[in-house]
Amino acid sequence: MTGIASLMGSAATGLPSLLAQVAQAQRIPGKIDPVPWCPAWAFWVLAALTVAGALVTITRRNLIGAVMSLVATFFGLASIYALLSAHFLAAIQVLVYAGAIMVLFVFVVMVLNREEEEPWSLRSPVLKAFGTGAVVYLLVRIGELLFFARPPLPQRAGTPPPNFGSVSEIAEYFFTKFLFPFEAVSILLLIAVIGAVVLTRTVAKPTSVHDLPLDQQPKDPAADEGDSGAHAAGHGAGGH
Amino acid sequence: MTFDVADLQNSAPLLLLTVAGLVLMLLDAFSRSKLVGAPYQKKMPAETSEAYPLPVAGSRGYLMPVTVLLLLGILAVVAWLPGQIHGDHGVFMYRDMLVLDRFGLLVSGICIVGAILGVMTAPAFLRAHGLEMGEYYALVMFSLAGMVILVMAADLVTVFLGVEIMSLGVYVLAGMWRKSQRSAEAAMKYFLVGAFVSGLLLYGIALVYGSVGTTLLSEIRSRAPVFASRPLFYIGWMLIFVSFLFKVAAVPFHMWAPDTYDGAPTPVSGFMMTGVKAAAFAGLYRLFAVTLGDSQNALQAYTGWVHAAYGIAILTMTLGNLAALHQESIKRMLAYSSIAHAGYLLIGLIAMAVVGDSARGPLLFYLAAYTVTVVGAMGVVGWLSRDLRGGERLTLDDWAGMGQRHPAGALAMTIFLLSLGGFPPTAGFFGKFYLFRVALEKPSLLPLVLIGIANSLISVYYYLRVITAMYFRAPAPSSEPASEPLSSTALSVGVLIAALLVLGLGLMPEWLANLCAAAN
Amino acid sequence: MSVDYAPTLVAILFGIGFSCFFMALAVFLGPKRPDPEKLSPFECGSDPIGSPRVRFSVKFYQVAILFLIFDIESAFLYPWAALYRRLSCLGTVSGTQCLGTVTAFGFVEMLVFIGTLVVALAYVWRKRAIGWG
Repeated sequence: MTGIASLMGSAATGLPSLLAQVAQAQRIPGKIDPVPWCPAWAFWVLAALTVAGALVTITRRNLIGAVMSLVATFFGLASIYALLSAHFLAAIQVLVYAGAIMVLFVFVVMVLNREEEEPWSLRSPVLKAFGTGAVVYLLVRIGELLFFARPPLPQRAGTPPPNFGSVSEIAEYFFTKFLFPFEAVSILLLIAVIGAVVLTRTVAKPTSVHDLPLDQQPKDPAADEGDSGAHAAGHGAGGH
Repeated sequence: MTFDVADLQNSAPLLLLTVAGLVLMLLDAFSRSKLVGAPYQKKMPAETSEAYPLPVAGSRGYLMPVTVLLLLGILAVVAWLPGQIHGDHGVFMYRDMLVLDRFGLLVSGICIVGAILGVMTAPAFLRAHGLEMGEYYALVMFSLAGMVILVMAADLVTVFLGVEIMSLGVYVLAGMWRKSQRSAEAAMKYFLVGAFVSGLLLYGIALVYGSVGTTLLSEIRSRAPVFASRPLFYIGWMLIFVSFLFKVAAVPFHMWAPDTYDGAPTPVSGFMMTGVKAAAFAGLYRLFAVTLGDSQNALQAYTGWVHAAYGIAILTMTLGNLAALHQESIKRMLAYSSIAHAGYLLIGLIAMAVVGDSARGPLLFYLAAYTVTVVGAMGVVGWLSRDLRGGERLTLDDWAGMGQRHPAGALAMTIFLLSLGGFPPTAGFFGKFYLFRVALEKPSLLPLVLIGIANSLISVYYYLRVITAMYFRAPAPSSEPASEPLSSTALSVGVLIAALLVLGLGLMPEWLANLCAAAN
Repeated sequence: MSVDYAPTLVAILFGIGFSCFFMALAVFLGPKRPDPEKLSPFECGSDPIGSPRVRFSVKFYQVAILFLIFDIESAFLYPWAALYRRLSCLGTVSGTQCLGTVTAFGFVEMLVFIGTLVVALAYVWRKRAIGWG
């Protein structure tokens, strides 16, 4: 464990020097996109936001809180895409992920309506040892990357062409070279629509003995109490 | 910004499948009257052995004949298109996204024939279990479209889309039995594993693209000698390989398969075991045997995938068969048997790389024989296993004495089981015979063939066990009601056609074998 | 290119600052005289019954999925719109003018895409998936 502690210690001293290195690289003209108001620390701020959001997501007991911090992660990711000149991807990340998919997540949380409980934890000592080993390995590799990697940071391949990653540039690919895959995506979306309708169609009750759960009860009043919407929809389900 | 109109003709099967799916979807949506089985959905099953009435035929019964006719038409187009291919090379379409060649058309044809037989056997089963819904037909069409995209793919992007379209439809089909918890479990497992596998596949594609700089399979093939030793290229291809092994349910990537095949509605299980597997093997063929194959240097196919496939084929055959040995449920036994057959098919894939193009015919013949047999067998399982209360009676005890109770169904089942076990004169025998014979051309494949033959002998035990139960065992006295076979003309005809095909291919295998051998 | 994001950044900062400002205002200016009665949960003058979290109908989920699917569909419209002039022109494009033959290529390819999803919309409508009750 002392090895890890010393590694952590050196990481603590090493990180500022690394940041200084990055800042240094920033000032060399031509090496990094010369954007005066968007320095390298913007990347570190956004990366921190992304990782922090992800950490909060997996540690919250409150599911809604976890989902909301995932939004922060998505925004951080979108900004990083933008820094990488992937502008269309950044817009889609916000529109589809931070917008629509998060709504879906919230509904899943509310449909399932699980009691808040302790996050799932490893019980088996073997798994615990395995997890610890994985974390140690990760830390070692990160340390290696920070202090011993040669060259320490990959050099930029040069500034991208001015239109790189723009919406019309992406469109060029969508609608000419990859036209067929683009059209095929519509079939994919179509199947998703059918799936959404078929799989969420409410079914009143199991009808065959074979399919009943072992501890089957004809009716569970407690479950139906807060389920009036689903119940009402259940009556509609037979109608089509 | 131009567009080659000839592409529309060359991709006609795919376009027609999509349009047919759209038409069926609209027919279903705009059919006026209520769906069948709806009144029964709210009834609880009788706790006694009182009969659970068969739901009456619904207004959407016409969808099945319409689907079969559409598929037959598309099959005719598939049969006509080879005449449009001039020369030995395929015709590239849509800026090299798809390729039209005889191989792709033949596998498409196999998938479509399997789907036709499956669709014929499905409605009776679906109605009897109160889950008839019009979407079934549209989803089968769209899944088939995905399979055709996969088998015609000439670019990694289309490979991914084909896999996704094919799988997404099947996820929904597996879970459409909303009242059955086992169906929900089947769909959930299949979907979770499938989503994970899509991630692997996409990651692999990204790594390959990152190292080679192109997603075109023909380009990758020409650059493979240079890139073969690069780590990114290697890891990328291995990820793609693993994701396809998941799709064909090869050991050790098979964990989802028994529960999924067992829990899904029986006609859908048949579709998953045949169409999905055939298309995935076609994908493996295109990606590995062709793109990474090296005709000069047998076992040295790029990235060394052959060595991995060698071990996986042995594991898949052996474990699949051993697990099938002591299954009491016939449907589950067929699920494990399907895993074992993936192992035999892997021998064909390896032979493609090691022996060369002469192995393509046997591989395709095996796929065709396997497809017809399994669709038929699953049709019979759906046919004979329903009991009076709407449950499924799938154990060997339930099937004891089936030979007396339902001679026609039992006879068909016997034919299919013999074909699966590789007995002459059935299609399965020639499938194995051709496959093992071509593999024996290279001594390095001898151990594989010996293990394959040993496994075929093991499998005979559990196939014969069902046959002896059907003919030589009296039904065990049970408080449970006996199964009450469905009566449906379409189902009987579908099973009859499948049985005739199995026997016909067993008696006259040459025409299909020649067709397969010519499918370059 | 990055300078285009300046308004976005300003909007985000303004949003954060605005909400923090008013929350701080409430914390510092609002009178705080807690007593047990005020701190107890309140529901129409009586003690609350059961958990405030009712289980949602799966209907909500269905609508959310359908929204997501059509949202993705509309996301594909942006690049198409950005490229539309060039897609439907066989020559070079100068400004808004096409110097060459105008084709329906761009129009038709999006028509096929949208047409497929119109079928989905018709299906959803007939299956009453976007209706309620």
